[in-house]
Amino acid sequence: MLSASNRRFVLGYVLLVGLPLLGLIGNLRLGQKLNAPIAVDGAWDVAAISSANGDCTESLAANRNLAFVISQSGRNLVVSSSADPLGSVDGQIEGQVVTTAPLDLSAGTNTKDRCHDAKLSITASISSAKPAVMAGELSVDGCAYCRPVRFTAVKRLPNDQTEKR
Amino acid sequence: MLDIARLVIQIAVIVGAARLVGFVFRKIRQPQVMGEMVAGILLGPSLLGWVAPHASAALFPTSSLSSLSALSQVGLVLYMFLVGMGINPGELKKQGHAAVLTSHVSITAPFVMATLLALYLYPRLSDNTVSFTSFALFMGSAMSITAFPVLARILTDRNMLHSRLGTVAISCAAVDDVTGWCVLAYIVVLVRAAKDATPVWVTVAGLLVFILVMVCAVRPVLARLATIYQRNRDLSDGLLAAVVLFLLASAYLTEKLGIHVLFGAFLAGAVMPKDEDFVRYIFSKLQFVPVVVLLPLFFALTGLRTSIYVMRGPGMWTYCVAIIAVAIVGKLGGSMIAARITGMPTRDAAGLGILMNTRGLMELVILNIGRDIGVISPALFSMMVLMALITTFMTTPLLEFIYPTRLIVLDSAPIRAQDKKAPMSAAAS
Repeated sequence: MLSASNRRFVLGYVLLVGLPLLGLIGNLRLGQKLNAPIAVDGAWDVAAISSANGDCTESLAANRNLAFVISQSGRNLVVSSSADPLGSVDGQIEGQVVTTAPLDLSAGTNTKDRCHDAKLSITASISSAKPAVMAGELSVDGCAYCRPVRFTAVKRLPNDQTEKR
Repeated sequence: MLDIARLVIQIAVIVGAARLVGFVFRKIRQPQVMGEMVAGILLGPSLLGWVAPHASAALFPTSSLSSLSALSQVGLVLYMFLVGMGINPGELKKQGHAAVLTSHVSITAPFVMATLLALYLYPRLSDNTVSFTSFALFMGSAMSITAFPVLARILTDRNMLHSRLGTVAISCAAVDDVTGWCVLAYIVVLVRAAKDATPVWVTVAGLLVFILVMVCAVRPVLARLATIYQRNRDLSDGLLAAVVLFLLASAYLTEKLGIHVLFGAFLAGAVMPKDEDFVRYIFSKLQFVPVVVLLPLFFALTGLRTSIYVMRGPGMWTYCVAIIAVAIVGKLGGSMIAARITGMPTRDAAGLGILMNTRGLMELVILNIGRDIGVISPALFSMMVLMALITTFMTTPLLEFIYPTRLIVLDSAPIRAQDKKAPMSAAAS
């Protein structure tokens, strides 16, 4: 037969430890129904840029190592590019669609290029069948002459990534 | 190729900043380690990278971080060994039912609240490469930890280490840390098993066998070290080297098992002899380099990963406030309520809650492990770092308000020599 002190301890333990642990199990089961955004974190190498835009795409097409780096926190993205490593802009992922604020993607070497000093916004979608491939458009803000440029990008494999901060 | 000149400059800047900011924080009666943590944050994108991005990029280029990271990990391995040495199961056994209940509630309350918060945060701050189970368990583990070394430091500074409150707090913190690390080990196994072909049960079984061998076979052998020390009041360089080799071997084995080097280092310390003089001796031999030189590197790397910038937008700060609120209510509130239920006076219970709410360095270690294995995102990492700093910073002033120095009374607990510091508190200074 337990003493009064031990009875209080056992009761306290059941109420304050046992019941919360049951709550923990309930939370874990409930969370199985939740969905998190598609992972787009990492470096993306731009594989192809359509040249239909003529003057607007030369500097982009000339930059064969063009890449952008996405740091993802859920739906919120921080995007930077190889053309401007110290700069970064905000982005969002909603469902399978990635959008960003204007970003410096041009090499800036071709002064004839109407985009050479412009910033471009990204709107792209990730295929659920191929989550390592992104396809979309680069839009030049404030440039009526330049139509959106189509591009594809491939996610770099983790071993190829630079040191992750 | 290693740029040794840059590495030397980096170490000099980091150690200098850590001592300077630590000095400032000691002046406002905060632990030195609090200042060192803040120094690390200031060297990252939150301050240096923001006001002088080119200088920051020149001082800490991405290509140089692997060397810094390796050194900081060595420091952490040594430090976690010392943390393990500071935990004495013998002292835990002496505590009554009240301490056991309080320590377990101080884990379950914040743990469960954190998993509840995880239901809200997961769809907003995680991605589909992380399972909800791993995410929620990690949040629980991170929220329920207490900074055992920093707590020991605060108690020593206030001459409370051997008071009833101090004894219960240290015991509870030790139980919290051991439990938190066990849960974290399980999470690491889960996450890594999802990425490679090794079944979870193989890793868990391997770990259990390793723990059994360490506790049942290795610990009795290590007890001879204390005997040798008591006879000679010294250990030879050869024996000290053997201690270091032992801890490195333990760290290596747990890494190979798929857990993490730090678990092996912690376990190695946990099975070392607990004779107080022996522990103090080992600390005097091993703690300077990791505590003074290498840990600040870890804080700097944490700072480089922490960016207030990624927390832009009203939604982000809402999440951050929620994290801090849950951390405080769960830990401080849970510990206080449990202590009151076990009969502790209200003031003592409040004091215990405040002390248990200290997260400090141990929180940063766990957060970096979480970041390394990809369980938490950059923004969530930054929010949790902020939570760790705030909950640690608030401990001293709150404790002074609730439990002022004039009320500290050493009760019937054995009184040791007043000038002796607990070894673990020296490590946190």
